[in-house]
Amino acid sequence: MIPKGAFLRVVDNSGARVGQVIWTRFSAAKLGSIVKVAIKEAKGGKVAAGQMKKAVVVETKYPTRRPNGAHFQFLRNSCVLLNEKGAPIGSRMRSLLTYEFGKPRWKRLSMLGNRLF
Amino acid sequence: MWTRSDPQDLEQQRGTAAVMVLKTTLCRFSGLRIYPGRGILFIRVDNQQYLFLNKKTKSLYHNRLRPAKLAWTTTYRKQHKKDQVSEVSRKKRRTANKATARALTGASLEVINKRRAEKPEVRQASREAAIREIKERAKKAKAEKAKAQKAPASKQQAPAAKNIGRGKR
Repeated sequence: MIPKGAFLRVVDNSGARVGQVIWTRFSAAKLGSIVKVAIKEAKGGKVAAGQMKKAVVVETKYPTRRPNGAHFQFLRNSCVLLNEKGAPIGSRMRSLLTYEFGKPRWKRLSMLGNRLF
Repeated sequence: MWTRSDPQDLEQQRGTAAVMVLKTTLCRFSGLRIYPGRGILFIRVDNQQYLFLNKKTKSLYHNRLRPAKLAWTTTYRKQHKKDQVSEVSRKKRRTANKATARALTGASLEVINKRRAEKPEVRQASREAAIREIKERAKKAKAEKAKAQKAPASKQQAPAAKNIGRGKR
């Protein structure tokens, strides 16, 4: 449940640290949905503060429901930056990916070197 | 998805469910079993995973309560040795039963003890002797049987021969 205006931690090595959500497809973004973020903090790397980037939500504090009824949740809200074509900008990730990213649409993202759980 | 199905199908489904082995996991806080479809997985920033049975255990964990201080958790019960008492007493009884020798229907207690005290060589010798005796007895019995069979067989043949000529007329 990530509304417009929420701050997301960026968990890849693109250089950005924090992004603020400025656009969502529906009222609130879920795990695995694409948002647009304004980069608020950046420290070297490919991205600078003040840029606007696409991003995919990777971790949410709000519990996500699996089809079998189980839930899982994280301690923070975080995202991974994407370029205009939808491929990840960074080459490494600092968090785990969930099985929701096992789909072929997220093949490039799941190749960033973190196992699914 | 809920769909209407025939009662037969429902019965079949129930049958398979009874056979199927459910893969369960353990709650990180309470130690109780988590059946599929239950539980909340909580993942910390350092990717440490905590699997809780329900909201209650999750909130207790976040309130920093120790499971060792709550009487209904398995860690508490292990610490205070709640479930082990009955098992221990049962084990003791079993070993005691094995040690004692009792008088059986065929042999009294004295006979058993005497047999035990005997040396293995003596026992084997006596056993061989007994086996030999039995074998001899069996041989004799066989020979007698053979004799007995021969004698009546010759007797029976004679009357059978008489009847040959008659038959039905």
